[in-house]
Amino acid sequence: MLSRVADALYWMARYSERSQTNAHILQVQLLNMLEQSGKENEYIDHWEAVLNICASKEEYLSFYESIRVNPLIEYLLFSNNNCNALHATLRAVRENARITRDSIPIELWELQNAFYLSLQQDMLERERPIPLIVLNSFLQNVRKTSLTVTGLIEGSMDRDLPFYFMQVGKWLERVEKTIRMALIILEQHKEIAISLKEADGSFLLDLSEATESYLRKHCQTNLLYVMQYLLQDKHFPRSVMFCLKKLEEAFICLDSDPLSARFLALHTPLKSLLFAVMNVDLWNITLEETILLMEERLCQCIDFGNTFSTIYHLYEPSVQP
Amino acid sequence: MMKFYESGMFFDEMFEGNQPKPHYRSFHHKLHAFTKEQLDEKYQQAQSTFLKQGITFTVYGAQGGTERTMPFDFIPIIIPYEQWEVIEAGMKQRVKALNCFLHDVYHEQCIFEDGLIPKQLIENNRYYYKEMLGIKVPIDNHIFLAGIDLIRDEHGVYYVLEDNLRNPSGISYVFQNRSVMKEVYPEFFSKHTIQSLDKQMAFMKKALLAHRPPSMNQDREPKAVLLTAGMYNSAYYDHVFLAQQLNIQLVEGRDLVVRDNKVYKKTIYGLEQIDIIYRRIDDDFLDPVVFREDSLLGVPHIMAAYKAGNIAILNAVGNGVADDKAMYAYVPDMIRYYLKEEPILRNVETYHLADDRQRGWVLEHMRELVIKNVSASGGYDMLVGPHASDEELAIFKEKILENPVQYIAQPTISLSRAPAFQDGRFYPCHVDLRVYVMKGEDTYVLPGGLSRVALKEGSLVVNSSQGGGAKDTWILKEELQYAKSSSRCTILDGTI
Repeated sequence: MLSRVADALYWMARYSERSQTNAHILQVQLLNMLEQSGKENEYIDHWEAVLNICASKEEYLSFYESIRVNPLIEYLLFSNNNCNALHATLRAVRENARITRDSIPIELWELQNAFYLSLQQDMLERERPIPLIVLNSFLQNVRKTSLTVTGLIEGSMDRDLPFYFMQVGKWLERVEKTIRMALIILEQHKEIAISLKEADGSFLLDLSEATESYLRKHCQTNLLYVMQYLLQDKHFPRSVMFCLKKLEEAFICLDSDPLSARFLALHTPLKSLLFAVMNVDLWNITLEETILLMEERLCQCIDFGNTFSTIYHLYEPSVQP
Repeated sequence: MMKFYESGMFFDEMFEGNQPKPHYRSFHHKLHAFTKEQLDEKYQQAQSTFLKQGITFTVYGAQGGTERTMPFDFIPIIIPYEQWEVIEAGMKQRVKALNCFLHDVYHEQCIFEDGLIPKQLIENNRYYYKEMLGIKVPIDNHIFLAGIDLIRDEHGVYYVLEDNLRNPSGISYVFQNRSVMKEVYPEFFSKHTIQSLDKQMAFMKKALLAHRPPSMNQDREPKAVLLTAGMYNSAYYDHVFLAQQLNIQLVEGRDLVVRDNKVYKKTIYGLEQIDIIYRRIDDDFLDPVVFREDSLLGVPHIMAAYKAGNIAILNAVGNGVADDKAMYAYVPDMIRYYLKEEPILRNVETYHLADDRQRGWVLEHMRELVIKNVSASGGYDMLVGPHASDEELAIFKEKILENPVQYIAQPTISLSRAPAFQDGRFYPCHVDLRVYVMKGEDTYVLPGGLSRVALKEGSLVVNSSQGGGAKDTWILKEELQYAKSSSRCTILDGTI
């Protein structure tokens, strides 16, 4: 397979995953917001967390004066200034799908293309501010399309190189996102007086789409328990452990020889990451240590992505929003 | 019942007066079963299919490129078998002669020595590349894919309007038009037996793989790729479609690299050698070391690999010398000279404006003529005398006097018409037909081709960049009885 095509497949999967997760996070916050008043601390905190998870607060404040809902929505969904705005990531998915048209199912390209064209038509030309109900149904559509895409990939793609390159992109994006979410919630906690052990984790559960799964197994939503779940649960498909296992599976399929230099170069750091995650003990360390630990894991993931790109001769992403 | 029109002064593909021609009768009959609303609905369905599949071309304008679908018109051009037989033979003959000419231009140059064509015509030609002199191309074939444009005059006589021997585009539309037609208008196919396009891609692949580079090891299967300018190119869909159908990789210039005069593609496992490049970028952009320095689309040193016989480049470099509008006039002479045959298909009469006598006559008769820039295409830099204003005539006169070699003139031909259905009504539009010829060890002519239609009423320009659309083209099979009798034979033989 051409390096350029492998690269585009990898990034298509990453952007697709990013679009889906960001759409979910925004949907959660738009609904939460209805019950909060603009003056409450929690309201501001939640928006700041969302902003930092989906983009960057610093960058946002270089374009806008204060954190207010309408500019925030514009920035996170449509602004050309934000390279992770939903519109930009969806465009990147479509452009990368266009490059890889001959490696993916025709229907997958058609779906992404049709969705992007309808987004252009329905959302971008609409008068601002866009009513909440319209935004919500748009975000719902982004997620529904993602679900269809996942089904299409799972159900119709050959288990071959293109499939596994997409898998690596998807799981790597997901693992980074889960760690980032936990990290940002922890960092916000620095400003709050209550101890970490008493903090509530239901917002983090909502953001990481884990509420349903978590509450089936646990009754308390204590933040530390939630974090442990997001790091170590073996069955929840957004947990760090689960994503790393999926990555391991993908590498085994990409390279059939477990002794090749290529395989070892990827498998060794993956194993050490898995080991580190497995042995995290959140109860006996301070908040600062927990933050540091999360930062280290995030860096390991990012390094790991770079190693993967080098080993498989991938280019710099050719189409970036 | 819907209203048609009378064929009037023009030759009409479908009507004779107000009656359908015999080969259109059953189609015409079917058409009457539909209401206007049903046809409108089908029209929308067809257009959205093209958009959804991303079968679009890019139009460059003030705000960068915008994607548009080629408007599709569902009334097919139907060509009876006997007529097609002649076209097919004429196409094979023409491409064979053009290939002989290209070989001659870059080797012995006999045709100039013998005085049939003035040598300055190639020396003035910007597509004549001295770099190609003496290069032996695989199987001596310069033309892997040709797109030859046909028109019909008011009597229905076919003329070749133009040869495209560099990078003829649009072949994917032929297949997509047929597939949309089958999906959206299945009713029209009953009662017709038409030549299928199914096997054509296999022929094309065979022709492609026949071009083994001279120094390639005989016991290896050649590896081919399609070189595209990328997804912002106006014909990107064509490239994707062909790569998929031919089952070859779609590469960009930056995916390739030349080492020791061999061409490699960059893969996830490192470099892999390739043997055949079906390129869809122009000669100028192929190799920044030899041609345009600023080219980002090409591959440095690819020409050196080509000269060393390590790579086949299709179509060959330098084909433009044979397909410009000035050389066009000599194609019938080429056929007589190289093949010792009479041309089967006619050429439109062409006046060379470099010739003093011809120019003098043309300048007096500009109102009756079409004047074209020999190296322009897509309907640009062209004057249609009967429709031109005095000002336009004056501008062209000046252009001709300034650079007479650059222009030719042809009589205006009343282009034939065919009905189109747009915005809820039928009206006559001018049409032409691009026929695709694929050449490897054997020559294949794609049955039908791309019928292009000038959808703006009264317009003569069929190019998609200027409001043209496309139609499906049906070649009727020889005779229905053949199929029946042969199947009966099989049963009697007991060899089902």
